[in-house]
Amino acid sequence: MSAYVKIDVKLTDEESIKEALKALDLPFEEFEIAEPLVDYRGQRRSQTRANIIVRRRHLSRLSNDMGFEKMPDGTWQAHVSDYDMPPRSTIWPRIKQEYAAAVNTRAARKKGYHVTRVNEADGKIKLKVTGYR
Amino acid sequence: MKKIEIIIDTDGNVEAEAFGFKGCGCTEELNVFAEALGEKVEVKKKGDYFAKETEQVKVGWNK
Repeated sequence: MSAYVKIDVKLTDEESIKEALKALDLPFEEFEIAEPLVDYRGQRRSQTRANIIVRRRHLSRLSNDMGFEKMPDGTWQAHVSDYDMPPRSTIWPRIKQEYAAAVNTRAARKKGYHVTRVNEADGKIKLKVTGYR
Repeated sequence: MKKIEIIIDTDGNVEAEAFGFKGCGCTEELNVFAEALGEKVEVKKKGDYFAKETEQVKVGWNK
């Protein structure tokens, strides 16, 4: 049995979501009108829709599609199956990590600062922001 | 040199620390990143905050 979990993490930036998926080599599809996600049995779930979708074939054998749904307030709701959550998988925490890196990098560059990224040996990402006056 | 270091752990939790800023001047700069994450921020000033002109702030997802 596979279920979707609604994620409370506040995703606010569409481009950073896409950058996070690209950083992890996860192909995605985009839809202006939210599309139903497909579960691990191949069945469309009409009640669970998303505008950015990572198809289950790019995840694990028991995964549902993973989706990001644009909400009326402009934020994004993630729909992630429990097979893509710890302890079964680290993919969702890694997406959150890459999203945070992307959104912070974009925020710094928007202000004209310079950002250097270092991937630490323990898996952490360090961003060094310089260029302050 | 003024700089901010942001550490993002493998669970997506974020910590940011500012170096070389005078007094509370770095709070505004740190808030840039907190606002980008859409999170409420708890500022933790170090004991030597005024002497060393540094400030630390934790932001992000602690779930």
